[in-house]
Amino acid sequence: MALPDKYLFLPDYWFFGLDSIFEFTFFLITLAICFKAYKVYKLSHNHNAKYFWYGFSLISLSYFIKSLTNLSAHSVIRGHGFTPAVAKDTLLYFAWGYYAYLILIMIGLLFISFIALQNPNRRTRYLVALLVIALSFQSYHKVLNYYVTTTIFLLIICYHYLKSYQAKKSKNTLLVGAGFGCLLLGHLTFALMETHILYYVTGHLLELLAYLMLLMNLLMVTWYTKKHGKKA
Amino acid sequence: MAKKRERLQVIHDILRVIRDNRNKVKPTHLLYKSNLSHQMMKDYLNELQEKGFIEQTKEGNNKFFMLTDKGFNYLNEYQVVTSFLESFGLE
Repeated sequence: MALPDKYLFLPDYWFFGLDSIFEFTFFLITLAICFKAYKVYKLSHNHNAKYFWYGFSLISLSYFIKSLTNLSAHSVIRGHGFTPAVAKDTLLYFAWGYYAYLILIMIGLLFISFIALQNPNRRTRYLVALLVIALSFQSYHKVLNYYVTTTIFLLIICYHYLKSYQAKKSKNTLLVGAGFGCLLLGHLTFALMETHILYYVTGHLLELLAYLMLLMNLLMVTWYTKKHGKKA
Repeated sequence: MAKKRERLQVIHDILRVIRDNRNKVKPTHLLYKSNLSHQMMKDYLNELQEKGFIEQTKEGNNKFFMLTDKGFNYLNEYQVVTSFLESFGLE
């Protein structure tokens, strides 16, 4: 199995390790959403809630793995310096962690886009999932493949929320749609990270904004509704 | 023609009727209040009993349905569940 073509990106010293903190924060937020979606699914048996739960559980796991491998790789480099011996082991370790992150977040977004596609039948779901995984493994330009695929999924998801907002004019739906929109912008920004560190930092900031919007909606739905006994 | 109620809404309506009647209601009263056919109500009641949301008791010759703790919890969570589904576009 070929490793990703661009799998080690070292940010400037001042952002070293900070990226792991961002990613750990994303892990916590997506975990909270995943947990709530699971509870909603258990109570309602709503299929879309099930896909949402699956999607966010994979996305949450992807950020956990990414933050862990980032932190470990950065700790080793900080401690020993970037020598050839360190580089070889770190690169391999980092590569597999990053690869796992790419696959998991792609499949996670695929599940969420099933909601937008209005529940395709089981065969279609399996076929699309197999295609996505097969292309990821076979593609030489894995990172490019990842950004193209996730951009398509995020566009589908954003369009779904735009349609939902147009139909119901719900501010919460608009907030969620804006969150996924920021996530899309973040992904596109990350695609340019090789050109300048600023894109890497901006990508993290956009993703933070995205997940904070989703978290805000989750808190409004949970706490406001419980406190006031009516919909947020 | 009125839109067919969602399953979630039907379950909520049944549980709410029981709660609003001081947590004790006869099947006939439930049938009248729930606005369901006899067979549909029977199916829902069986499902709710299996899942532990309601329980059946007897007083003499009369049968009553009561909410369990799980049933009360469902009613409390219902608004949160529907808000979550609506706001995240999952309906």
